[in-house]
Amino acid sequence: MADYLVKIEDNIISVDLINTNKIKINDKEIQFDLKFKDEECYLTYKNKSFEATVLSQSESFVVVSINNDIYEVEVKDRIVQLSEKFTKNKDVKAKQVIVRAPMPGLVLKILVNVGQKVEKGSSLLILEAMKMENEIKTNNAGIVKEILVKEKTAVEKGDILIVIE
Amino acid sequence: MKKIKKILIANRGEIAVRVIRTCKDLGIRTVSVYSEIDQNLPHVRLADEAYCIGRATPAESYLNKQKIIDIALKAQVDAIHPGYGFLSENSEFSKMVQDAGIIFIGPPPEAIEKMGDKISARRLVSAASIPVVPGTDAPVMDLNQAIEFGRKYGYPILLKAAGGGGGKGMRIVKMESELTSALRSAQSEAQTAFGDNRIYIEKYLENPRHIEFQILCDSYGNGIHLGERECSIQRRHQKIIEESPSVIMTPELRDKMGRAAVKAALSANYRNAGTIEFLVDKQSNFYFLEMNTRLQVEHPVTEMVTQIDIVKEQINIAEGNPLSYSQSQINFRGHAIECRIYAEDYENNFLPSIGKIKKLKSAAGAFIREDRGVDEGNEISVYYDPMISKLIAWGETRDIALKRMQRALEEYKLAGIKTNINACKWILNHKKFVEGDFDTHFIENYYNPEIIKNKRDEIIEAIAIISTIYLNNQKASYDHTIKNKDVSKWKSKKLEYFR
Repeated sequence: MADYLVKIEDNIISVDLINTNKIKINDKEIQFDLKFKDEECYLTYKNKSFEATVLSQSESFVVVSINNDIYEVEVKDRIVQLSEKFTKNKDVKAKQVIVRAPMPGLVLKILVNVGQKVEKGSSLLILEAMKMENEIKTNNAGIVKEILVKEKTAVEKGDILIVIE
Repeated sequence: MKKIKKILIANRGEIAVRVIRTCKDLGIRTVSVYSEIDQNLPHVRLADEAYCIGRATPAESYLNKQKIIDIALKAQVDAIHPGYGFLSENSEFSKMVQDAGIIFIGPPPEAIEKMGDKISARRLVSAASIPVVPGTDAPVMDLNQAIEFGRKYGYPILLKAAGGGGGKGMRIVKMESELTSALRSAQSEAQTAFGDNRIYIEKYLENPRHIEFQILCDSYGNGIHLGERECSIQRRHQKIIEESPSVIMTPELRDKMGRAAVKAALSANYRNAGTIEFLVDKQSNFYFLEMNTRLQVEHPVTEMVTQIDIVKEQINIAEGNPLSYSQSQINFRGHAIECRIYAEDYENNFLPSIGKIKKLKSAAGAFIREDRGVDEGNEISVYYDPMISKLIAWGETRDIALKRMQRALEEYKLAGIKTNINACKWILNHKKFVEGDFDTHFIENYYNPEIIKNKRDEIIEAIAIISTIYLNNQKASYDHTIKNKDVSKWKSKKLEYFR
């Protein structure tokens, strides 16, 4: 088992820490130099340099901004990897997708009903923000399990709008 | 004729900064106004005086006409510059300013009324024998009228708000069955955005280019144009990349369209700077679309190719002087391009994104200009337009300008909020854009967010290294704290083991 299992978008990478200038990525040793200034990071490796900012962090998640893109990174240490191994077989619950408000605004219209089947890209509701009507779409196909907002109500950024299963 | 010595800028962000800069160049004193949440913005710092005008909601601050005029009187300014957006195209405000004995740096109220109302503008310019897109010359009162129009001219048709632009209250209708809901939602959006739910209908031109002309008119009936801006690269009906000249422009066509633009403006007894927008089809037929009776967001590209400071000319005209240039004195040199950097999520339909700018490293170098109204540490809020910055590059040729813009975008580093920087880079690299073969449907035809985000192995590896080391360091310092506190043996051992 690797020290860390890192998930970035669709990539899963194993990482082993060797010392402050050496790391193993997918079992390949890499030399690097990394300096931090609070949340700012300056990395050089393979003769390339990168500049990144850690935007937020929790027990096993880091949000990193690099090259003007934002990446949500899941970092599983040994404990998490082990516990996942044990619970894997019991985890038969269907995967839920939570649709959150991308910005504060007013729910103008809800376009789906509970129990309705939705496809990837289906419009779920119309959120008015910044004087624009924005269609909130889903990235996942599934069944609408729960609708947690009502039309004409205000929502904050990050509020759960709809749960798809 | 009155010399302007002090100006209040009734706006915020980058355009307020832009106007203040020219005022400083001219030795004119400046007054900024700001809403409570904007107190820490650059436009407040840069002005000679700054006044808080109320809460964040535009209606309580930047749209509060009386309050702005009261401050202008108190600060004893000679003139008010409205920037763009907010009160810039509000004829009532222009009149109130005038009545208060203050110069409005912009057109007279009558001209704003004539040109600001899109329906009356269409009537006016078609009377001056300038071609317009077929459309209703009165607001559509009911669904039947809309249905009738669609049957007469054929689909697609375009619903547009009579009261304002910016893509608000605008809907493309591809077939009759979509008309009912499209009309209803356009009306409600227009009502919210402009307090005016009147909608009119136009035949929707397929694959047009959006090309506009910058014009200047003085108080003596003189008008000139400063050439065109190609603004076809749009998303959500809002421009993101503009350039001058347009790749399709010839000196003959420029002359023809420029004359039409000046004629259109003079037909409304226009004064000061303005923009005439045209749609241009594949055969280079052009149709008047609308007039913007104000300084335009993308005016810097014109400044770069003409070397004319448009804000300076606005002030000159407002002082009652004749135009500083005749048409034959206007020369175009090289190529300029502008990218608007927005706080938005290019992976999710360009939805606005908000938050604090944690890091901002701008671009510099030869022939790069930046107009920006926020700094590192400032917030992009839900209350105002989410534009962060305008980057402008100039080159002797289009190719050189494009390369310089690429270089600037690569230097630019912004963290904390999602931006469209990488989407701009993608557009600039796109074969069709580089070849100049595009129209207003460029984004919907070619855009695919999935290919923009950098997923090269080296980036992914870099992120993996940074994330693990960062978290590991955090845990290490946490362990350290716990050890020093001498907690139970079991806990520290466990942490030690997994370190």
